[in-house]
Amino acid sequence: MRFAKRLLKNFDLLRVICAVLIGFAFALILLLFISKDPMNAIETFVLGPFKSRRRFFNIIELMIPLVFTSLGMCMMLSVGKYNLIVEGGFMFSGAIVAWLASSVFSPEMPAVVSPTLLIVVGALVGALCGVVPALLDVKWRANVVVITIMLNYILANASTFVLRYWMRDTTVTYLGSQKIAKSAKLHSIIAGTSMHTGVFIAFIAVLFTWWFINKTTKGYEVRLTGSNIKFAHYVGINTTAAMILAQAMGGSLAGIGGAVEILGKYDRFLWVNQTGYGFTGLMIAVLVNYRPELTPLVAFLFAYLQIGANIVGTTTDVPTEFVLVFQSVIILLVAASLFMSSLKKRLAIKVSMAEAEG
Amino acid sequence: MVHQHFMLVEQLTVAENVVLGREPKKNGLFDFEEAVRITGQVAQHYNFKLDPRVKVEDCSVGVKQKIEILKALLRGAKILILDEPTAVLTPQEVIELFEELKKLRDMGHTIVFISHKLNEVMAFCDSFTILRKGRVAQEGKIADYSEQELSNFMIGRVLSKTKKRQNKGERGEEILRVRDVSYTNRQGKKLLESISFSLCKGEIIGVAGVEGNGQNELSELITGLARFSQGDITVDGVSIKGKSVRQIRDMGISNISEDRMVFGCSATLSVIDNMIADRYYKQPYSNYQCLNTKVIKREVKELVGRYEISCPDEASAISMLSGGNIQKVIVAREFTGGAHVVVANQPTRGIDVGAASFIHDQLIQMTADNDAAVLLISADLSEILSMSDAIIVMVGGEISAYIEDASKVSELELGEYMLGVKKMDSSEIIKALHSAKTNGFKVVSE
Repeated sequence: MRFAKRLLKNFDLLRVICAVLIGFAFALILLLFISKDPMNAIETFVLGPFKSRRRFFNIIELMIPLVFTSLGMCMMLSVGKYNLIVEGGFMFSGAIVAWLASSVFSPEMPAVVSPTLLIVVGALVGALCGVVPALLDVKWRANVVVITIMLNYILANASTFVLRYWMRDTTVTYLGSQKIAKSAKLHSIIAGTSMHTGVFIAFIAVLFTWWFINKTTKGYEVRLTGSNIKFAHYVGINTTAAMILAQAMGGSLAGIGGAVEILGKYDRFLWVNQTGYGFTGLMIAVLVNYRPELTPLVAFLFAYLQIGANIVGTTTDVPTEFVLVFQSVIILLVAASLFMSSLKKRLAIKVSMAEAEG
Repeated sequence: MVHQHFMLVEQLTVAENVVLGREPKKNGLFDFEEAVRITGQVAQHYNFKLDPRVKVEDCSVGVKQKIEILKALLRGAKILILDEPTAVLTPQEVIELFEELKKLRDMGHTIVFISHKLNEVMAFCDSFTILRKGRVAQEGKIADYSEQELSNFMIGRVLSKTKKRQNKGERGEEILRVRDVSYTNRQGKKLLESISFSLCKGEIIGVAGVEGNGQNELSELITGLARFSQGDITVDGVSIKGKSVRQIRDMGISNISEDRMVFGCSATLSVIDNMIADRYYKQPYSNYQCLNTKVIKREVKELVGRYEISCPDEASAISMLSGGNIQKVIVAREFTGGAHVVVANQPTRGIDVGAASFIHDQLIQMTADNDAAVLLISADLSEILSMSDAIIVMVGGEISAYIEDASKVSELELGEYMLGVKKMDSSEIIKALHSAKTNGFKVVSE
C-alpha cells in the first residue's frame, strides 16, 4: 500500500524509466537485424562508452551543452511556451563570443576575467534571442513555434555571416575563425581529456534554475502563468511580464551554454550548421517534465547514448544514426499522454480506496 | 438540434457550413456554386434572408442562428430542438426569430423550445413540460395555465436544509458602492445596464437570478477582470477604474470564481502553490523576492487544518482532491487574505452538502464582526434566502428587484422576480436602495 502510494507520487519518473527501457530494448532488437555481428555491436554500444577514461569524459563534455539547452527549454516550457529559440540562441551566442574572443580579447588579458565577461555577453545575446519571439507572441499573437523555427534559420545564417565576414582565418584551408585567445578559454580540469571548467558552470546553472523556478516570487509567477494563465490573471499576476522574463532567461541559459561550449572545447569557431543541441534540450526538458534538477541525469543518458552510437559507428558495421531510433521511441512514449495512463488510474483508485477504508 | 453555443466553422462561408457533411460534388470535387444554389433555395423556401457567400465570422449572432436552423432543415429535420436560442440575441432578433419559427410551425415542423424565460414560453409555445432536477415536474397546455402557476411549478418547494442566518439588523459603514455601471461585450451586446447598489460591512447581499443574466459580468467588473464602459465602482470611496487586478485585490476585494477549475485554481500545481496565489509576494511569505518556504508550509498547513481540507499532503497536486475540497482551498485563500469585500460567485455549486454547509458557516463568520461584506451570487434560491440580509434580483443584465429585508420575501415571490413574471419599477428600486442605506447608517449612528 505504501509502495503503491509512493509509486503514484513518482509516476512521471516511472513513466520515463519504462520509456527508456522499452526504447533500449527496441534499439537492441534493431541492432540484431542491421548488424552482421550483433553481439559485438550491442556490447560496443552498451559498454563502449565506459571502456576508457577519455570516452567517459567525452560523455561529460557532451552533457554540458545539453544541460544548458535543456535548462533553457525548462524555462520556456515552465511558462507554457514552446519557444525553440534555444537552438539558434546557443549557436549565435557562440558565434558572437568567438568573434569577441578572437578579435577584441588579447592573450595578455587576465585569465579569469575574460571568460567571465564573455559568458555574460553570451547570456545577454541569448536573452535578446529569447525576448524577440516572446514580444512577437504577446504583441501580435504570432505562433511561437513557427517564428522560432524560422528565427533559428536566421540565427544560423547570421552566425555563418559572422564567421565568414568578421572573423574568418584566411590562412587555414577550411572554414574557421581566427584563433580564440588563450586567456579567454575555460581551463581544462583533467589532464589527458578535454574536460573543462564549464562543467561547474553547468552545475551552478542547474542549481540556479531550480532555485529560481521553485523558490522565488518571479519563478512562482512563471509557474502559475504557465500552468493556468487565466488563474494567474485572476489572482492579479502580470502574465505578460512573466512570459517575457521566462523566455529571456531561457534564451540566456542557452546563450551561456553556447559561450561555455565555444570557450571550453574549441580553438576556433567552426559551426556552419544548426548544432541540434536545442532540440535535444527540448527532448530532455519534456522527459524531466520541466524539472531543472533532473536535467543532468537525462542529459547524461542522452550523451551516453550518443557517445555509444559514435563508437559503434566508427568501430562496427552499424551507422551512428541508429541511436536516433532509440531517442525517438523514448520521446514518442513519453510524449504520448495515454502511455501507462490506465496503470496510473488503477493505482490511484487502489490508493484512494485504501485511504477511504483506513 | 440547434445548440446554445453555435457549431459553425467560422472561417467558411454560409453555404459551405450549410452543406457540410453532404457536400454537392462535381467531378469528385466540391462544387461551391451548387452549394450556394442549394443554400439560396432552402433559405428562400423558408423565407430566411441570408447571403450564402459571406463568411460565417462576418455574420451577426442572429444570422448564425439562422444558419444553424437552416443546417437542420436541409437535412430534412421535422423536429427542431432549440436550446436557449434567445440567450445570445438582441430583442429585435428575438422577435424576428419567433416570426420565422412560427412560419416553420405552420409549415408542419415541430419545435422543441428549451428556455428559462417564461414570457417567451408564454408568448410562443403551445404546450410545455417543466423539468426540475432531472424530473418532469409538470406538463400541459400553455392556454390552461397562467404565468404565475408556471413559475410556481419551476421553483417548486425549496427544501431549506441550510441553517437560517440571523439578520442582525445592524450594519457597518459602506464599503462597496456600485453606481450606474453598464457593460457591453466585444460583440456589442449590452450585458449590464445601469447597475447600482451599495454594500456595507457586516452585510451579505444575495444576487439572485437565473444564470447568464449578467451576474458573472458583474463579478468580473468588481474584481477588475473586465472593464466597465460606464458608471463607477468604489471601494471605501476609492474608484477602481483603470486599476489592475492586483491593485484591486490589494484594496481588499477577493473573489470566488464561478468556474473553479479555470479561474479558481491551477490543477497541476500543488495545494501549497494554489493556496498562496494571492499573497506569495507579501511579507512574511516572501523576502526580497524569495519565497519563504518554511512560513508558507506552516501557514498552508494551518489553513488546511482550519478549513478541514482533506488532502493526502499539501505538496500533492490540487487535481487529486475532490471538488468540495478544491473549493475549500479556494475559499481558504480568498477568505484569509484580509479582504473586506468577498465576491462569492456560486460558491457551493456542484459540491457535496458537507462542504457547502461548511462554506456557508465561513461566509457567516466573515461578516460576524462587521469587518467584511459579502456579495453572494447564486442560482440556488435556498442559499440566497438563508444567507442574505438583502437581495438583488437580476434579469437580462438589469436589477429587476431589490429586496431590502430577505426574511420578508417568499421563495415563490423571488422566483417570480427571477423569471421576469414580476418586476419592480425603477422608482421602487431606488426607494428601496435609498431606505436600506439610510437605515444602515441610522443604526450605526445610534
